[in-house]
This record gives sequence, structure tokens and C-alpha cells, in this order.
Amino acid sequence: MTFKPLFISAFETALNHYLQLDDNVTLFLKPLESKIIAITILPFNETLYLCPADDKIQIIDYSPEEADTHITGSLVALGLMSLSSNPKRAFFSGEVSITGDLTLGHQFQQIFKKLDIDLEKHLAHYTGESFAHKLSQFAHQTHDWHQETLNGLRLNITEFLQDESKDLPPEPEIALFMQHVDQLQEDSERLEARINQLGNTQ
Amino acid sequence: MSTEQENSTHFGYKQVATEDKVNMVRGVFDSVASQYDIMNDLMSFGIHRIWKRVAIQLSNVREGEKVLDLAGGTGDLTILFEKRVGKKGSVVLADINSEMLRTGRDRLIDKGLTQNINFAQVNAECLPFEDNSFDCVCIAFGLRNVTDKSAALRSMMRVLKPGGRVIVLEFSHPTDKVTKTVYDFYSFKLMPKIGKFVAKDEDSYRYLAESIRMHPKQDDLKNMMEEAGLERCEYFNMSQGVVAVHRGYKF
Ligand SMILES: C[S@@+](CC[C@H](N)C(=O)[O-])C[C@H]1O[C@@H](n2cnc3c(N)ncnc32)[C@H](O)[C@@H]1O
Repeated sequence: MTFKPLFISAFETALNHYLQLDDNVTLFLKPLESKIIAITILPFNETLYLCPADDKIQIIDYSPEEADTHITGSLVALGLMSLSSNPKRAFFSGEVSITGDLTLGHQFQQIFKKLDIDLEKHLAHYTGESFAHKLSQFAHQTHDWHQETLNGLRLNITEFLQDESKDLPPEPEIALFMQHVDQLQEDSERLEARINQLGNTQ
Repeated sequence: MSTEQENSTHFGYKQVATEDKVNMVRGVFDSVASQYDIMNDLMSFGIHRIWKRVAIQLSNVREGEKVLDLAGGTGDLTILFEKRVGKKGSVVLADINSEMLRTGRDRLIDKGLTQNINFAQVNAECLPFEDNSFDCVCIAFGLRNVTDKSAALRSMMRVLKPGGRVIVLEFSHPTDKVTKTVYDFYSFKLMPKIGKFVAKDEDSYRYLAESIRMHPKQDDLKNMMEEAGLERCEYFNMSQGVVAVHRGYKF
């Protein structure tokens, strides 16, 4: 149950980090203010709501008001997952569908196309070493002992990764990914400081 | 129910007269106010920052909204909420304890936060705000200290705008045996000792440990929120249920 808010926090930070790189962010966001863009991530069928504000996009997990446009696609298709250093892999491409306000939807799809977010890094900020640790345990498929003490967070991460495993890369790619995870563990403090800094300038 | 029961409530594991509890709780927080932030970090190994971030995320607060940070203490959540609501929005930092409020206000002023933040000394059980005035009312690590929790939840519901939400972040009940055992040892044996060492106040921290055990279980609190009139109520366990975020909407 706690995975979703962590995921949203990471996504929100990453998305805004990306937006801040663009000098025209306010120009771009102004006409979108007070619009609500629903994003459904496949295959989990989880929906997030993106709410453009002055100079940032805020993400919420439920909206009493109806969304203006609705975009559906996999994490990979939406540009939110990159498990490899090579971005041109076949299984990273995917379909995105849009309903509702199509113009608005396409504008957002353009943002996603350009996104190259390393969500694991951002998640490490929230869950620290233990997320990377759990992730590495999962990837090494040694999840016997902690089955006992698995909590919601861990279960959700496992489910999340298992579901996503259709998109998971083969052995050598995992090895590469594991290197990244190890590096992450070492870097987690530095990252936290950096992301906090980014957070402060928002 | 006998009159004795009606007029007494729990203060940790000690039974005390209801009217005394308010004063005793105030005493606890008076005595820890200055060391509160350090203790927070020590007691939860800094994990409370993640708990608070998750609570903020679940509050679904957007730019321009109006937030009540109830039992806000030294203002940790006010700072996070202020970021989300921006200059177009506002946050009210409210607490029953003037010492906590003062510490909070000084801290926020030091951070340059004044313009869109207000302070109010209130009792959560009878909030002095108009009906339908907040988009979000959040009570973090505060509800377990409130004597009449149902009254507090009703009061929070009343001041919410339609579409608004109540967020309760609170220590809760571990969801598995291993965690419970470790946690019991930590909070009953270790925590009061650390409290004695750092804040020179063992009793206050013993009270904190006990009050956590007396707090309603996850499902019970969810039911209480529904009874107060909140809808779409749900909870999110964190750290194996050591802490939970409850959320309910007013429609
Ligand atoms: C553990 S602190 C939490 C502070 C802050 N929300 C945080 O998470 O860091 C609990 C606070 O609840 C306040 N409190 C206790 N009973 C209260 C009541 N009936 N109404 C309002 N505040 C209350 C105390 O004064 C104290 O500041």
C-alpha cells in the first residue's frame, strides 16, 4: 500500500526536475493551469492525476473532480522506466492511448517522450539503502527468508517488479542493472543531498 | 458504564481523571518541546521524515489550497505543506501547547516562512474555525494524545470543505510478530532510556510508548473516521504497521 505514494513522490520530483531544465516551463504550464491529466499505468491499472501549477506539476492519487484528458500506457512507454544504459531497446517502445482532450493529451505525451527518468534513483531517496537492497534481493531471486517479514511496501515492490517483469531485461542486462544498484547503495547519501537541494529550489 | 469510568481516561497505562489528561499531555510536550526535533530523529532513526513525506503525498494537496496542520508542534509538516500550496495557498499551524507553537513559529520565521502561515492555539476536540474552511486537515502524531478522538474527528470533518480530506499520521500496530517484538523492546525499554539521556525525561518518553499501545488499531480508527462522516476511508501501513496514514474524504 505504501509503494504508490512513494512512487508518486519520486515521479513528481523527477518530472519537475526535468521541467526545471526548460527555461520556458512557466510559458508551457500557464495554459495548462487547473487542468487535470489522468495517467493510467499499465499493466497495474493504477491511475495518477497530474495537476499543472504555476511552475511545476503536482501529482495526486485521487481527484474528486473529473480529469480533462486521460493517457494510458506502460511505464516504459511513458518514458518512466529505464533499466538499462541503452535506451534503444525494443521492449522499451510501447503504445500510448489518449482519450478526452486530445490536444492536451498529445502535449503531455510529448513531455513523456523526452523524459529519461531513472525512477530507481529517486526512489532510493525515499527508501534509502533498504529499497536498493530489497530490489537487489529480488533481482537475485533470494526472497526466501524475508517472505516471513515481508510488509506491504516490500510486497508491493515485488508485485510491481513481477508485473513489470514482462519488460524486465535478460541476465546480462540484470547484471548491468545490479551494478547500478550497487552504485546506488554507495551513492544514496550524495543523492539524497542533491535531491533535497533540488526540492528546496522548487 | 459507571461514573468512575466516564470521568477517567488513560494516560499511557495509568488511569487518570479526564480533565487531568489534557494538563498531563500538555506537561509532556512542555518538557520535551526544546529537544523535540532531536528526539524525533533519534527515536525513529530519521525514518519519520519518510513517513511525513508519504503523509504529505497522500494528502493530495495542490497549489492554492488551504491546509490545517493540527497538533502541528514544531511545524515539520507545515513546512512540507507550505511547499505544496505555494504562495497562493495557506497553512494554519495549530497546537494546544503554546510552548510547541512558539518553538514552531521561531523555526518557521528562521526559514523565512511568514506570509502564508498562521498560528492558532486550539484543542483538536473543538476547533475554533468556520465550517467548510480547509481543503485538508492533517493531524500527525497528535491524535493519540487527544482525549476524545471521536470529537476531534467530527470537528475536523466539520471544518473541511467538500472534496477536502483528513489525514491522520500516527504510530499504529505492527502487522507481524517479529516487528512487534522488536518494536516493543525498542519503545518500552530503549526509548525511555534514550529519552532520559538526551531529554533528561524518562517518564515523558515512557508515556509516549504507552500511549501508542492504547491508540486504536488500524481498522478501528478507520471505523471511527467513517462514524465521523468521512468517506472513502482507507489506511496505508508503513514500516510494518509501526506507523499508518489514514485518509478520509468529505464529499
Ligand atoms: C508528537 S507531537 C507532533 C508534532 C508534529 N505534528 C510532528 O509530527 O512533528 C504531538 C503534538 O500534539 C499536541 N496536542 C496534544 N493534544 C492536543 C489537542 N487536544 N489538540 C491539539 N493539539 C494537541 C501536542 O501539544 C504536541 O505538540
